[in-house]
Amino acid sequence: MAEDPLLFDVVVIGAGPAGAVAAMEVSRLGLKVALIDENRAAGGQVWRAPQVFRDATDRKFPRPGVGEKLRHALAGENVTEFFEARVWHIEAHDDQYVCSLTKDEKAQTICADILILATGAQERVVPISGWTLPGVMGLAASTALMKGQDLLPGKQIVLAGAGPLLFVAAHEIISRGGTIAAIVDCNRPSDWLLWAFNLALRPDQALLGLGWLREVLWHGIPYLSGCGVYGITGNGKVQQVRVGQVDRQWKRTQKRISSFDADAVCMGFGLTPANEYAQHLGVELQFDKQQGYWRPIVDRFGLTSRTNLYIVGDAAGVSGALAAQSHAISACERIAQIKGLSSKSGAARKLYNAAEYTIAAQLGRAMNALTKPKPGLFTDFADDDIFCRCEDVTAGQLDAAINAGNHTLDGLKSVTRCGMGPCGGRFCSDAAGRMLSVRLNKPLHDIAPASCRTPFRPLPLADISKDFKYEDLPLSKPSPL
Amino acid sequence: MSRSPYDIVIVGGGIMGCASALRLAEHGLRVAVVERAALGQGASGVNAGTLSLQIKRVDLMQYALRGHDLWARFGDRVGFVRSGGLTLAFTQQEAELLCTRMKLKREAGAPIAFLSKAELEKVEPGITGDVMAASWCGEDGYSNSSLTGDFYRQCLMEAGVDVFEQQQVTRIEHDSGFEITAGRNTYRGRRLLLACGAWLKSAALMLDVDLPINARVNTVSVTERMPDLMTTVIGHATGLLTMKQKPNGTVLIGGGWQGVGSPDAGRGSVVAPNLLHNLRLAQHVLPALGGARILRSWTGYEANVPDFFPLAGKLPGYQDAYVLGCVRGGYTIGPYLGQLMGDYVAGVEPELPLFDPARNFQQN
Repeated sequence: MAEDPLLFDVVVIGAGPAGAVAAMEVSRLGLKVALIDENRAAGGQVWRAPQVFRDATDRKFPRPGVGEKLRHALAGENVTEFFEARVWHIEAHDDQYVCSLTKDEKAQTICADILILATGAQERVVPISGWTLPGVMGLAASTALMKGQDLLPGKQIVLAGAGPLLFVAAHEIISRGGTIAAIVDCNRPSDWLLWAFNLALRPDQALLGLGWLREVLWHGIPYLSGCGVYGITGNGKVQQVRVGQVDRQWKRTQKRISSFDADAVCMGFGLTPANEYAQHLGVELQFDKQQGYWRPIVDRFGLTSRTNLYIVGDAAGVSGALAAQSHAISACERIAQIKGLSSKSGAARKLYNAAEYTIAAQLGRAMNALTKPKPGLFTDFADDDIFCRCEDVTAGQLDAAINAGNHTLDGLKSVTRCGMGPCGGRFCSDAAGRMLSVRLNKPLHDIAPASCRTPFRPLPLADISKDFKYEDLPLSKPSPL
Repeated sequence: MSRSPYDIVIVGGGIMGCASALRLAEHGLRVAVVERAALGQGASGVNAGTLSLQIKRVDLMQYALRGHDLWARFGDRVGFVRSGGLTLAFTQQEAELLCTRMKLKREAGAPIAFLSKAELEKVEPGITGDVMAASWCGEDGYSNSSLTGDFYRQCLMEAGVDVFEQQQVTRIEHDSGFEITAGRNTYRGRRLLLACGAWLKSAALMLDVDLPINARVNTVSVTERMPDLMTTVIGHATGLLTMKQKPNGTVLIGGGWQGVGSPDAGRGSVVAPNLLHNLRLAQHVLPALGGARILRSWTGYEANVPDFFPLAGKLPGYQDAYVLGCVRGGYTIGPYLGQLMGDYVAGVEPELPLFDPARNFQQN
């Protein structure tokens, strides 16, 4: 069973840009801090540590060496790290947060007065006919694959979906010598222009983006704007990708249809905050119309309505890695202030940090806003298109359940099992909400998110059952006869 | 809403409310069901779905037997399986408890037998060798509680009952009839039935009746899909374990281990140490579960009064208001008790006696 709980002043969950920076900042305040992450090293998804041998420096996105720098800095701080650990449950007791985790195939408990959630974001998936074929993956997932394992998603790759990740992935593929069959972008140039003025805030980021675009054009990669994937086909794997024009609502127009041979499709529609921890702890969620997702309500320091619970970085609303770090610093300034500790941040640094956060967050949000799926994506399903891949629930089954009067996400989940598999709805719940919204003609903010369940990650029974003794079970009171 | 009042408005769209509504509609009454969330999303839809006579109270056995018959009749629509069920004891003390209790339950009408070690091995070969005593009931089984809401919604639609979901009742007023307010909507009924499970206490308080209701917060967990590990419903002599493998391969683990929460504050939450005891006990009983991962654990509120018998009758102090709930084993018994309640409200003598909510609750 769980060993004795380990006690800390602060526990940070997630060691991406927000979490790693938060952990370092609070440790500099003299607080005892634990940093927990599922991966082997800090960096999160965006600065994922390579797991294979490679040249000494990160040569890749977004700035060479930025992940290594972070990991190096972290190693120099007094932070207790729990890597390759999974937090499967959190309880809020009177003045303490109790985190249950598994690490090294054993259960462990970590307690702290202050909890900082830096759990990041997850990729938004829109099911499209054929999306469960081997060879189809998320856009963000493909960049994780390339950064983490230095592997290409395929030999002939179609990139599809919306937003800047299309170009990030293209850059990662090109720099590894891979071949891109086409980039299929639901947005049109006018959509990009609508948000592009935000890039003026960060010329360095603008240059980075322009560099990616130039790279795509230089390599003569077909770039189809205002187009979407109509379907993916193949015999047990991706072979052909059918694409065509979409209208302003991203509904298929059945025009400009073409077909590409490919063995991989990387398709994504941006990121959404990983809300399950916040939702479980009773933090109220609000619907962010600009971004098209639910996110926890926090103030600019990341403080929630719960005492001593902070949410920083993308977990509080997807704003990108740059904003995530500033956000984490703000949260730690707040912690220092509340605890009466002297922070090394002077007034000038605080001001600078706040300004940097504002700019970076606006840019990050603008870029992610480009990825928000539009309703037209949810009107053209065939009945046997898979919607929930864990439980093989089809679009037709969802439609039937909605028609039978199941008008809530929880109800829909109960009757169809959509979201009841190992992924816990992380793949399909956003899409199921959009399907409900379209079918019921109700705005998305009127569709309550599905209830959140413990464990946050699948919990191996073997890990929690070591050293079991029957006598230790408190079985004293039988039920009334 | 200026429509003529319903003959009866039922607050609560769980098994109790829906089953009562169906019977009342059969008697020709115009019925409305008002539900705070979606039908069958409370205890009716999140319990472990066990249909076991072995865990029913002796005094409720006749009700439970009839409840079993109804679930069998609902059949595939609710995922009914008559798998047979085991209850296991691991210590001398538990064996004595099992023996005494099962004999009483047998006398009350449940076809329960005791198994030898060899017989047990044959019925459920995957079970641990540590078992000291085991009882068996061939009537036992389970349904899929997730389907409760959808099942009753179809039944209510066919019966012409008006269902109003996502309507959280905020006020109930009584003059010549009852006026039930939920947000901006108002529902009028000549009569009123409160059948809102763990929310009964706050609903009755809206009519100034304080019922001594407590809510237990029961924990249920489910594994990922597994190869065939077991065929029966397995229970523990103390009642602190129920376990079954569904046709889809997932293993559902319950037993009433406590979480935390209060109905008016939203859904409850599991408590890690209790959950871990529950899961470790399950794995002890069925060692092969060690290869499984738990995908979800959740809680449901089970309302009860101090004597652990149902509330089924008139709301104390009212002529035309009724209350139904707090049934130990309510998932099994609910469909039947709802019928009795429907008969009673419609002025028909129920087949078996109800449970007066105005009684003295002092436990014996």
